[in-house]
Amino acid sequence: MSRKGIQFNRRSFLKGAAALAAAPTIIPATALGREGRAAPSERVVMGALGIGNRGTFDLKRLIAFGDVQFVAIADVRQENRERVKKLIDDEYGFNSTKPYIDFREMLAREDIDAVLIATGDRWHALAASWAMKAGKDVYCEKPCSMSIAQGRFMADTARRYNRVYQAGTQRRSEEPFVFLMEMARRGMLGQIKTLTAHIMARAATHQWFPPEPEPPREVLDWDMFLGPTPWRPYNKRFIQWHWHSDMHGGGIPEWGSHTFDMAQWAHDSENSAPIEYEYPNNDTGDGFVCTYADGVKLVFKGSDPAFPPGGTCGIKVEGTEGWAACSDHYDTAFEPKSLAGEREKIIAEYQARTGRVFDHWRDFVDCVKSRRLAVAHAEVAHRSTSIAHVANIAMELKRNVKWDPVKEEFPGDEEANRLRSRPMRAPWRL
Amino acid sequence: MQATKETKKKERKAKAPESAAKPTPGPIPGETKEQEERRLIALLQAADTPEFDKDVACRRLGIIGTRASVPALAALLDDDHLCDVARWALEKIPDPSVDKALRAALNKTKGRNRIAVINSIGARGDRGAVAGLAKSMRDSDEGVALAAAAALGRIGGPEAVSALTQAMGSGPAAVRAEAGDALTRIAEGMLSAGQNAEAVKLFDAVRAAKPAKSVLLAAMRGAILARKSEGAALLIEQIKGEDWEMCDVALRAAREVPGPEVTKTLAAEVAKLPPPKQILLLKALGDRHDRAALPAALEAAKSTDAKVRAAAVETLGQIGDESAVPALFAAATDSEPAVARLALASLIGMPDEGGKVNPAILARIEDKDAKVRAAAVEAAGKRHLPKAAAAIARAAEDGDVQVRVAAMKGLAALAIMQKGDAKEKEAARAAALALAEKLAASHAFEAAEAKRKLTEPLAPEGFVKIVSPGLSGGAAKAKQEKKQQ
Repeated sequence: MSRKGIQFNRRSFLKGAAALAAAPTIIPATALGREGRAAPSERVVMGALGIGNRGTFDLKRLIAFGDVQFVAIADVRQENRERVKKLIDDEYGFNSTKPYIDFREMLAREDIDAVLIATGDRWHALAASWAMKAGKDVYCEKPCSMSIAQGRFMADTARRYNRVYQAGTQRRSEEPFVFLMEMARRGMLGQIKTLTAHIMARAATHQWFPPEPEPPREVLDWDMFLGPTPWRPYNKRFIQWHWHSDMHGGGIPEWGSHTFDMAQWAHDSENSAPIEYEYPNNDTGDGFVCTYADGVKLVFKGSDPAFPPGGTCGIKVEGTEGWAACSDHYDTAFEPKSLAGEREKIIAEYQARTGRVFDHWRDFVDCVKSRRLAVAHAEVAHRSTSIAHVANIAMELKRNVKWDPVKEEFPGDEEANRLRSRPMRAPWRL
Repeated sequence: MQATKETKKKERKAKAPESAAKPTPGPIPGETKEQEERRLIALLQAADTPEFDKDVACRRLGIIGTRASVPALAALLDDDHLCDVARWALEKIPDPSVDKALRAALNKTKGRNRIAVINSIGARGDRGAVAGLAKSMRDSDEGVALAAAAALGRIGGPEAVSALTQAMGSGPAAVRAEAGDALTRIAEGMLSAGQNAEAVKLFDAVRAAKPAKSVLLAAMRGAILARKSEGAALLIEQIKGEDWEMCDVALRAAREVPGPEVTKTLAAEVAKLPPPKQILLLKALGDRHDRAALPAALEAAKSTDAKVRAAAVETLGQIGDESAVPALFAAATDSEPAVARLALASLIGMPDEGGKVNPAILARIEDKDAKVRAAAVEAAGKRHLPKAAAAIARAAEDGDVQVRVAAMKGLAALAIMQKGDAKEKEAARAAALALAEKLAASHAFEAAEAKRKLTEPLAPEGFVKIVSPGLSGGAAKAKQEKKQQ
């Protein structure tokens, strides 16, 4: 819905805040001003960073909130900058969105409170850390990192700089998934035995393509496109960065960022991880088995119509007294069916206990205002993404590995420990 | 859900394989790691080896490389294209010759490659390089100076602290800020290692040096947390202060500093704050899940500010016990609909750990105030309290329409519950069935279905579908009655 004609001034935003006042989770206008500015807490001023298809989806969700105002877009690609600027300008009815090639210039703006990061995966941890260090809160698409070291750095940065970080693992804010998690955590499925998590059963590979003339920086800034990725000659085929192993972790983190996150939640091990990882003797990760310290198995499953209840990016929890599963496009499936009778009560208790809303983007904005941890905060995002990284290391080494989630190291396994970080191009650093 | 479509699209695209432009120097079957390392070293040193093959060889040596690989890898530290993969491999080799090679390269490389070398020195935590890095913090190339400060933050130790403290006091603003960041990083390491006294000292030193605001905020957070419960005073000072960014820091720390004494200290401040800050602190106290904050939340529930009342009833839902029930029922009758709605949500969702919340709710089911009765019957049903079945069934005939509607909602919830005593569940279902039969006059078909379904074992979905029209009817009736009033 267009908001053409809305003026960017305090008065209009106060009006917006008044409309939201009926929702008491919204902090009042005077509560969260920033130093040196007149009570701007009615809205969260945001910049967008690296906005392709998924980023556009996120941006549309955020811009729909009356208390969010986008003012800038940073993207290394001219076509994205122009498209997103038009999208935002059209929404507000003003030619006001400032485009940037280098996101660091955007982050230097003091009027920006938060950023939406939906770059290629290679940038996620570094751009988020850079932003948080600059005092910005961050909504960042998944996966939160490309390596264990990057994830740890990002989570530590969020903590040190007191920033709100929300990973784009939106299933944490969807009622069917929450119902599943709560059933599992309350023991309603009995003792949990197995967690089955969808992955995309496909590996990323490392390759270069024949050099091509680099486009002008205005059209595509190849140096910033690569960012922390080790150098390679320009070739336009890299613009589709998926499945290039320096830029994309492959099919395990692609869906595992979501599904391992849910497994961790269901198993109540959000600050930990499985300790044993069994290499499945294939190149895709399908059938990979991880084992938690309590013996619970986390099994990776490629997309499979037979996976209850079908769909994609799903999770299944099996316990001694029942099972529950949920995936995209499906409601929660479970046995025994009688558990349906507990659904409303479970959800009411969850919401009373946590104060969470079933809107992932709203949870982020609310947390920016209240300063509480977002539902998919940096530490839980790092922990669940670490499972994908540890599994990828086992896949690279083509053997089983053991993992110490407390020390975040492979006990006595020097080869595996060496792979906790990835090569990164200077000047980018952790 | 959008993500799935996109992911499928990506998957389709990705299935069209793109051939690699270069062959890879992959493993040779039967080769030992020593043989493989020797072969890869030779490959790196050969003049005609394609760049891509060298790139792949460096990555493999990062996994299997030993001291023997160091010279070949170090030779690439001034290679604009391969420096980063080569130094990554070097970072992984546990041999002093690597540190020696990196320190030597620090003085020979320039620009981006020099920054790369500094990053690797930092990654290795080489204390022998502190003097060189301290000098680099004064480099005219700001990128070099920033990298050196960051590297010292990773290395730590007294010499690094000394160099960084000096750098934080003078020089370009960006370098001063980076040095401050590095010092907070070192202090955080101390905190993680349980060296709280040392951490307090360092965090306070950073604060006293008046660093960049972002660094000051990080240091304040650390200074509060490192003091543990003794940090409460510093925390409250920030909440009370005029600086909202410091207040943000304190609100987050308020959720992290453990201990009931801290909760009590924080709770005692609620009433002294202006309403906006009361709301923020109440939310933080709710997230602490500590009942020591209960008196403050109960007091706030009587505030003249509706938003404060709303925040208080949410907090009561998180931390309340039976003593919160009267306040929540009072809030359920609040003139501000949002407060009443939140109060009901808290009554439905709050835990019953001591076993006294449920009786306190049941006791209000026949309250003289219709709004309280409505809240009590709905909460009792949705909390799955079968003891309430008969009372809720009676409430379905209450003179007040909102109580009747609430009773239907409560009975619907009771009828589908699965936990609890079999006899109680049966009684609840029987009460629901009786209600369904009463709907027969206007909903004959649905009532018959209800009877059929309710006589089947465990038929929750059926009941919901059947009762829903009844509820809609009730709502419509309520609307009509309201109009007539």
